[in-house]
Amino acid sequence: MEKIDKGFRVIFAGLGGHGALVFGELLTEAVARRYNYASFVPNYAPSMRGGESESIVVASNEEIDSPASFEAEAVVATSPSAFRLAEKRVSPGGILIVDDSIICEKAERKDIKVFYIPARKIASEEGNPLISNFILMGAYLEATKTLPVEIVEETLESTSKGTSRERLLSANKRALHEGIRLIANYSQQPL
Amino acid sequence: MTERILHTGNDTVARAAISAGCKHYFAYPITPQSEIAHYMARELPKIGGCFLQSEGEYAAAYMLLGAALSGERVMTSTSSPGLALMQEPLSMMVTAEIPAVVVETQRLGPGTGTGGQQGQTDYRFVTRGVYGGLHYPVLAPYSVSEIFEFVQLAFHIADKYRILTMVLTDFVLGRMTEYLELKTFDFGPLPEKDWALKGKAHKGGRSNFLFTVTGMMLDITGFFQGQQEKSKRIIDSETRWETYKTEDADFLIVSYGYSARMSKGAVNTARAQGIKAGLFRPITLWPFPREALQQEALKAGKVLVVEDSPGELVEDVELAVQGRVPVHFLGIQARHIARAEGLILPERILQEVRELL
Repeated sequence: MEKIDKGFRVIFAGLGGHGALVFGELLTEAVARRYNYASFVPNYAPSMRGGESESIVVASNEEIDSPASFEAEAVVATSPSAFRLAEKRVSPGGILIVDDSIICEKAERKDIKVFYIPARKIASEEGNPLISNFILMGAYLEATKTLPVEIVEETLESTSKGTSRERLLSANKRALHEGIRLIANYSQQPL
Repeated sequence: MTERILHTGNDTVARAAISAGCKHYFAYPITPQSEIAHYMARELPKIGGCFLQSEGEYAAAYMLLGAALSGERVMTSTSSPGLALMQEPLSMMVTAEIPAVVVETQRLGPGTGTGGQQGQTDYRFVTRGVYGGLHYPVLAPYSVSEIFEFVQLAFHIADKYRILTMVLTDFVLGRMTEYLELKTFDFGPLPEKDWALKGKAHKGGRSNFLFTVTGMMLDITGFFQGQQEKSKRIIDSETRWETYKTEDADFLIVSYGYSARMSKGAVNTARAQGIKAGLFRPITLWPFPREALQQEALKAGKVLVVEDSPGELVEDVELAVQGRVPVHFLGIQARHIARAEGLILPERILQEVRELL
């Protein structure tokens, strides 16, 4: 099911508060359980709330030369202002996941696969917009098959233990599976 | 097998210092390196040491000076504007030959900077030494593993030559996470610290006098002669650099810190496209590996300097190459977005290489 190969790169391009950094941290920990090398570069606008916030995660079985790059095989976009740039950053044949409860625009490229997931809206309806990044994480895992969700769940459990994130554990796990479900059903819909 | 852990660059600075025997750390928090202080505040009391947060950087550096006089391994860390505030005590420490380690995590821009964003705009500031005409060694890691090694090496160089030694990182290196191998290092023997002020109450204690601490430099020419001889010893023994795929390269990229990491990816992609690119990376920014760079540059015939600044490292490269091969420059204008959170990414470096072929 999952790929154990040369590895993968993923970018989460959002705004402060969307959970780009937690997405990156968690995925990096999960990657480290499967790959010889993992790297995570966070990048966010200074001294402000709600500024551009980005994570780049790299998984590899060989030493990682550059831990950041313009392109990645998968991009998760939740920032309206950075959406056009995010679309350009998907490598040909790659995957773009868009939170269309935040971003109204549609992707123009035909050489990539695009999934529109209203993660923020669903999370708010569940009562906690903070878990939207976990819906997107589930969607990412299902769309790319880069890591099995069990590894991410294990990582989430061990890294939440004893932290303020622990009380969100079951909500976060539900969100992961909601993301998986959205993509699994998505393929049956016309794009 | 050596234990491997995921670690951020900033946490690694603190961990490496403790591994090197540093128990006392004086600092004032500043983005993007306050995590070093967080780590020290948590870990130093467990080993009988202390993190003392001062009222500002100026005081932190004077605390560093005072503690270093005892001969203990001590450290401070800061970011660009903080380092500016530390200049007086740091100059005194270099003058009086008081060893300590300073870690500088560059943040972009002049003045108070961008509030802690990435950039490599302190190269010139740290490589020209302190005011008063004296240099100090500067080590530039480009990975979390190298931060772990170079902070420990910095303590060794500091003790070996009785000199302030700096480790220069940046926002990307400080904040990024990657695997760290918890190796142990043996850098060789060190001289006894017979100069240290232990206090007369101490068993076998005696009076000791470090004349330049007072600023009374009576024999000026003798003082500078001694300092010049010491600089020469450091240049001869401690100049460090790394080459990557330069053996058959006909295009040489020169870069340090995070932009060297981006350049490494560009070299590999260039190679996959049949372009024989290589990377030369100065590891000591002072002393700068001039001769080694000149040799590599002459061999390749074409040089591109990549640094996230308006152009600082490029000056040292031009000095080294002495006009014998063309030196091109890719700087802060090459960021993928024209804002504080922009980065110089491998694809942009490769594009420049292709245009210059």
